[in-house]
Amino acid sequence: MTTNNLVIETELLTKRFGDIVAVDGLSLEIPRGHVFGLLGPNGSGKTTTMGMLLGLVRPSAGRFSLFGGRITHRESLTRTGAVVEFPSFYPHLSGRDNLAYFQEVSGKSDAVELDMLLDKVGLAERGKDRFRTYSLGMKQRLGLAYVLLGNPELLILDEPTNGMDPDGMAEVRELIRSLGDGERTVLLSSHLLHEVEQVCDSVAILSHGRLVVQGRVDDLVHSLAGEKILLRTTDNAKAIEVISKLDWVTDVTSKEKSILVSAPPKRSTEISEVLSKSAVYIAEMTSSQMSLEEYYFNITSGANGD
Amino acid sequence: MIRQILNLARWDVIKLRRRWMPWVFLVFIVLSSQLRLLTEYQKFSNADPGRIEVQAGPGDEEGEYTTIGISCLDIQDGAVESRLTGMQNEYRNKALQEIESLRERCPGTLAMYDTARKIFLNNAALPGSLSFGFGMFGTMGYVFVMILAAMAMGVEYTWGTARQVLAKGCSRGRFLAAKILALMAVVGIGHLVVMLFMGISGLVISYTLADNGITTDVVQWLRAGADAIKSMYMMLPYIILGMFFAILTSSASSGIVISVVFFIGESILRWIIGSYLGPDAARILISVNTPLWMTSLEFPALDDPPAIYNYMRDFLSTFLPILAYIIVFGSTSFWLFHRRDLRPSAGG
Repeated sequence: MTTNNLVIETELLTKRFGDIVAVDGLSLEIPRGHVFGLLGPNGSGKTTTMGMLLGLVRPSAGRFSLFGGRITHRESLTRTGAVVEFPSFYPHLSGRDNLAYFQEVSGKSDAVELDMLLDKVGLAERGKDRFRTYSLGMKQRLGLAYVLLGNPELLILDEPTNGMDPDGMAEVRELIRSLGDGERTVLLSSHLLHEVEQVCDSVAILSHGRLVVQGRVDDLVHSLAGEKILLRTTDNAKAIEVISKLDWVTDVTSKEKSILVSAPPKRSTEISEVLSKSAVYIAEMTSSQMSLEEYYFNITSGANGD
Repeated sequence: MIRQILNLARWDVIKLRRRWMPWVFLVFIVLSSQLRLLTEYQKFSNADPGRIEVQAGPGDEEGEYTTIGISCLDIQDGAVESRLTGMQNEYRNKALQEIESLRERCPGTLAMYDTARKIFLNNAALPGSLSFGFGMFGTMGYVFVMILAAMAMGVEYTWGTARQVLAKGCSRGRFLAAKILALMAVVGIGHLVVMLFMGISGLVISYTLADNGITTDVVQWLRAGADAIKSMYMMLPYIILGMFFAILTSSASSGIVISVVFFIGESILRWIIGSYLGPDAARILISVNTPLWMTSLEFPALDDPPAIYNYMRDFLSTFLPILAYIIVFGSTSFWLFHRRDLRPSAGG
């Protein structure tokens, strides 16, 4: 991957708070146009990493660059929209005035953009109300409008659906997914693993400030899940007996009313043939895949030494 | 860069304008300055220089008797005879003896009264009333300004908005500079409002009590203008201190509490240092220098080098300590704000 294509690159990035190592030698590469998930339990260093990228937290060691390091960090930030931890606004100002202020901070003033963004996040009706009167979900929506100010190339979102109702969460996921289409890059942290699975192309899993694994969501899930086929037959006991005799099958286990066969899915027709010869017929056959949630718990429990 | 700082400062003024605290402080300062003026007026209007009470007639069964008050002003205005009309000769003669004795003391008493009147009119009539109003900034104004500055800066930490401002690419230096500028503007607006009210009061007093109405003496008007600038300069170290405490503690409430403790603590320290080490040693404290700074200095004649030297010495002896506070705490605030992480409150 060429450096020019990397929007975020960190190299042995480290942050210590006294004796506590919040981020420990983190090296990440996030290419342009990706929706990238940062996963990890509380205290794993996700927010601190985002804070360092945004210049809010000074790294103790290591380096990072935004947009390939071709522009100054402050210029990079003007091309970035970010909410770290939770959306923070002035409670005594209206939602619209809050956006206008942050627009001014970026050195711009565009009333049309404000109206368009409020409309986009569904706050057009409440834009003139004070921020303190907003519900948690509305605050999150205003946070999304804030990150979209100036049409940034990079979005950094920390738990963007926190506090939203299910409908709102689905909408925001859809919005994030659409934002990540094309050239825009999204770095997203979330505790909701299925959310990351639905939204992200790639993911990095952190534990105790260390990078446990980084890669495309599909690749990671497949790498640990291995190759498995899930079967439901007319006679599971006989099927297990028959399939076990095949030398390319490494394992066969009974799983509730099904059978889990450790074998390449491409050989499923051979399994079907062998079973029919033994008068066992297949009712259902699927390739078994581990969810990101299962993968996450698997990998973080390993990293925690559990 | 300057344009962005000005824009941010404009927004900071808007943010402050929509909070109740600056308004409460402003109302308090305006009312206090008006009350102070009214108190001075009451003292002046009730003054009866050298007043004595003379017995006007025989006493009643309980020994109580009526009296008539005579002051030097009655003697000066030739109103004694009319005041004693209708009195029995016995009491009238006795009263005249006492009045004669008062008459001898009156030149000195009236001179003192005249001086007091001049001082009152200097303070209460235009343009002296304007400078008199700034006196309120020199008492409660300090602590109000510190609290306001600590609040304005501290809430950026407390609400987490500082993080979002900086994450938008705003430099920390510009953010802080805009904040100081906005607070100066708010304090300046406060001065203007106090000037407006004191101006109206001064106008009324000028036309009702002063002999010649509003003075046309340019020097006096210039002095009022200079006092406004001096008062603003005097507020700057307190703005910086309030912000410094908020940055130091990364919190609005802690910054406000430390500001108040500083204000009280300095008063106690001033007394302790002044008592044990002498008044000059206490000059290290800001609260000792600011009242001295507001003391009006007579402008020297330009052809009098020793007077110019003395003027400059007195001027710099208070200007420089205040400047030192501004520079030391201002640069420390900038350094701390640059240096410190804006850490997330919890989680990862």
